[in-house]
Amino acid sequence: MKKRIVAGLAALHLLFILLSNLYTSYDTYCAYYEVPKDSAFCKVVKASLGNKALCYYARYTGASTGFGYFAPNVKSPTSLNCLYRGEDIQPTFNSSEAALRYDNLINALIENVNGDKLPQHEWEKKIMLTKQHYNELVFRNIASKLLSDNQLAPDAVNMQLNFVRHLPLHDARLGKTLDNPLFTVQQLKLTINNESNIN
Amino acid sequence: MKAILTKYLGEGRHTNDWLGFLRISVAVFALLHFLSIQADFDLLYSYDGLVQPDILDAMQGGTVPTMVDLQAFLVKAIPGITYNGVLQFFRFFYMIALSCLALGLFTRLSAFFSLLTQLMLMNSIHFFEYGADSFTTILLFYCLAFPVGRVMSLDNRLFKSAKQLHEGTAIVCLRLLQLHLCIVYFIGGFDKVVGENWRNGEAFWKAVTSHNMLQLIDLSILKNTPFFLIGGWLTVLVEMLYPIMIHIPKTRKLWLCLTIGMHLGIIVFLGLSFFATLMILFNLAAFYVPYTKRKALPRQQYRMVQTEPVLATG
Repeated sequence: MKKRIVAGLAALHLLFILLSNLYTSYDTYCAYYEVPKDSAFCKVVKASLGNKALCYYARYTGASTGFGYFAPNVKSPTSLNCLYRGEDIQPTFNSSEAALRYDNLINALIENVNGDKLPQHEWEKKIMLTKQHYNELVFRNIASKLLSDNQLAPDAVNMQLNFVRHLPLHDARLGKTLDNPLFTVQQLKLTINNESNIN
Repeated sequence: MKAILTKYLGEGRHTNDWLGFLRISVAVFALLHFLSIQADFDLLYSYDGLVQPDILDAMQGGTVPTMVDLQAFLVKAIPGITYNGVLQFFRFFYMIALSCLALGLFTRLSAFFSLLTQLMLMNSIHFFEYGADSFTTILLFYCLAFPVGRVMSLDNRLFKSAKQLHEGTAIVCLRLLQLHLCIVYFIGGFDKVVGENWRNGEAFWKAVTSHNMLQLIDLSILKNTPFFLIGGWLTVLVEMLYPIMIHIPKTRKLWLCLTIGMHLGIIVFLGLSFFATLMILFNLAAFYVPYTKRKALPRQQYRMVQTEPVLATG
């Protein structure tokens, strides 16, 4: 009897993982090929996954983790440049793991600013603006920390959030090169002062 | 269908050592992963770090409390408690919980606290989170749900009244772990094959050249060969065929080697050493350790109870 109960719970858990991942795959596919998300099945799955209790379950069990790593395309590397009087200042980490986590922060900031897609609706514009303001807040924090760590006088800094473009295989075979690999997604000129790092 | 299910969930010829392996490897991994950021802990977590905790907090989902939430909650009960005090407490508490889990001491309780603290610590810096953290959550949850404390644990030695390992439950847990891993790879391969860049070699080229963090090997010299085309397709095939090939005894070891090879490639070319190591451990726990032959250890070592099959054969 115990085995049957455990098997039933395991089956439900797996079903949840499968459905949430199939939905994520469909979502990624639609975004990648810019096709409308009009599958009735996926609408039902999305509505079910949005249930509050299931959200908690998913978070505490890791069941909503998406597995489409490096798919459908490998993302370009990213960079956040803090230009202070023409010099790029970068944080120094004692471990490669912390540096890797910092890269994840930059990726998250890039996702916030929605690159080349223009918002279609008013609510999309509001969300985008909020996220841009949020990025600005994070930039200020980072810039302030970098200036303080490097014992630099408060001044204007230019923060650049970039994609690092990579030469496609086809072009590499033709012997082409990239003149400027940086593609700036968001750029802000900030004034950092002594009073606070979130001015 | 019933017969297939009965056979699949029936007690086969595998050992239950995988339960101990899963617990010890996940706990030690999580501990090392956490220790690896200790030198930069303040940069990630403190108010003197790169991003202030309450700014990070503003964009988190709200399902898991963060260190900021906890401090705000605890200060009502313990006036004067600081953010740093709460952070330092959970920093060490997490390491203690993981150590107890690795040793199999108060296993279920230590798994519970390890999972909860891991979620809270990672949610506090959710913008710094990545795949290795999500998989740690998954596997710590399995350490909580599965009877991992019944094998190779201090609980078994110290507490004579420890419950027996329920053989039927153990096999269902193993199948859950295995099927979860099959979904991971199938979805991973499926999502890749959808994009044309994995089919024409561009994505593989980009993965091994643009993210070449360790700079150990430069494969760009192979740009005029079909290496990247083959590499892209091989990655997709290894992942998509994983659920089938790993379940066939004759191809299991080959597929395990191919999969582990793929993760070693991730370490070398993408620098994601902790993520890849965790995936290798996940694979070994699910498809290698259960099928290793046990030497001279009687099955009674685990104090098992035999149970009825999950379904009657029909």
